[in-house]
Amino acid sequence: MQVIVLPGSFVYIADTGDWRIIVGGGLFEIQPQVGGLAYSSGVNLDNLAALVVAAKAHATANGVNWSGN
Amino acid sequence: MAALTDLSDLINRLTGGNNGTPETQFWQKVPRVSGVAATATIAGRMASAWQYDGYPAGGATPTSGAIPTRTTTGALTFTAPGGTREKFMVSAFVSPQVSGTYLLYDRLYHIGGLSGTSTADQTVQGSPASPALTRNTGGAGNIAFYEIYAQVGGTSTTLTMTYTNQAGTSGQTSTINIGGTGFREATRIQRIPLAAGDTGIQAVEKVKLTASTLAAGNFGITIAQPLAVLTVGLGGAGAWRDYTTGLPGIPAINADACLSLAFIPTGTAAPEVWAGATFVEK
Repeated sequence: MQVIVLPGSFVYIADTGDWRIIVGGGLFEIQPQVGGLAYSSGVNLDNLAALVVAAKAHATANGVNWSGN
Repeated sequence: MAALTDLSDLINRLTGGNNGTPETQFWQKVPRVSGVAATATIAGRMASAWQYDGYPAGGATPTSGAIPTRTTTGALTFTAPGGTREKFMVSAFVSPQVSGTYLLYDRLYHIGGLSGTSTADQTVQGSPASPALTRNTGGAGNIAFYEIYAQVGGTSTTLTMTYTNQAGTSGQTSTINIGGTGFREATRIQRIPLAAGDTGIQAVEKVKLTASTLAAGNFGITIAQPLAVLTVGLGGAGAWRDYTTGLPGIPAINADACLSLAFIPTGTAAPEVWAGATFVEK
């Protein structure tokens, strides 16, 4: 997972290249990195699930939160 | 800083007199990014050679906002002036494989990691600006462009930039399109216009997309000070500019300048570029 530190937010890009998550400004925003919005559950959604877990852990550990956290 | 007095002063210094420290640098950029063929260009649309391999090596994709300098990987090489002297560029040339218009500029600020799908405010330098510009801080003549590092989505949308103009007025806004064919490919750059009456930029606070382009990709904002334009009518033929006798005069080059190249090609082949410049100090 690549971590990009922006003012007040983190950007997490999956090593698999297909997802990114932005945490900051009260948001935990999941974004497709390339292509459209339809993904196969066996590949891309597994990558997304792994990224969500890693991004949540990193953001929380670094004090960047989102609404409801 | 003293200005060059006259041609005698210039010739004296260009031949090594009076600590003129004449210097000529040759650069060679190849159409590859990190060892992979660069994305095809688009005729008539501006592209960046910042990440092109060669000499010097290609620049990295910026992450958090930064002030690149003469020593940042990717910057075109030159030596800093000695003592309290100032650096002047007296001539420049470019001989690319592909015809077009080539821009030599000082890369004052850059940031990457921005998203082509987010419709939230995406902070650039913020307010107050951090990091603030360290060169041409007054902003006169500075331009801003978005720079694509990884392809964003195929749906066109509007990017709104909020910035501080050359007079120090914050909250100025302007818009440009981003996304869709021709406006989403890696290495594409697109200048962002300024509001009516503005002539420069001191800082970019944030950008915001009206809608998602449907792929995040990775884009950034670069603030640049244009230094020289060279037009090449035939690939390989080259162009040479003598600033002693031609506009825009003899540009002063900041000791920390991050010199870089952008270009508007006439075709779709990413160019190999041989370029250089001659400097003198006073």
